[in-house]
Amino acid sequence: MKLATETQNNTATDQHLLHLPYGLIGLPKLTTFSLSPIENSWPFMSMKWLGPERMDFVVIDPSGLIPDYEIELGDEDAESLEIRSAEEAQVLNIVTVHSSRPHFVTVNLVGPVVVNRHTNIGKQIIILNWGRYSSQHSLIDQRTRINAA
Amino acid sequence: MIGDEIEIRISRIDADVVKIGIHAPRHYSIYRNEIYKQMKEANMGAARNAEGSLPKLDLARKAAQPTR
Repeated sequence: MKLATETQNNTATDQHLLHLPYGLIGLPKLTTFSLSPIENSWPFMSMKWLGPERMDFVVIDPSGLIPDYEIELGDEDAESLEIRSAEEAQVLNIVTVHSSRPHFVTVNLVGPVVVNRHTNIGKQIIILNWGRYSSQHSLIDQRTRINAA
Repeated sequence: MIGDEIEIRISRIDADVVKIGIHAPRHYSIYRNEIYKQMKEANMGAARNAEGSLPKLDLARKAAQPTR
């Protein structure tokens, strides 16, 4: 994905810079990220904080992966991102690989990161229809398969 | 008005778009605080700051992959 970016030294076509002025919820300092695929791990992508310490997040674009997932964006959020239609929005949901149970992978459907495709400015929002979804929606649960093997 | 507390105001009508604002009293922020807390915990649990590989994820093999 090629994008116009502020930093001229990024010419990698596989990378994509995102700016979240408010950071992530509870982590307001994490404002600038690069987004790139993870080798051999489609659909998972890596959203890497570009700050001094390592802080990476695994994310997915839910389109085509999560059935019946409809995001209701609040008015103020849509306006602050200048998003007027679904086509202008890129949605990324943060994935948790549960370290205590590494075959258990969930995705946060309540707090997506919504990015304006043109400006690459985004925000982690809480969807208005939060009651309908889980912040730990199970993507993979290989535990039973492992036990059965 | 919905009940005694929630007021819905239509603030702008423009072509096919109706902007709807929902005005709720302050105690609804209790729900909001709970959810913010949940989101913060989810983010912290999701952050990967240690070196280490992702587990092999079966989803990549099972799902139809888009051509790149």
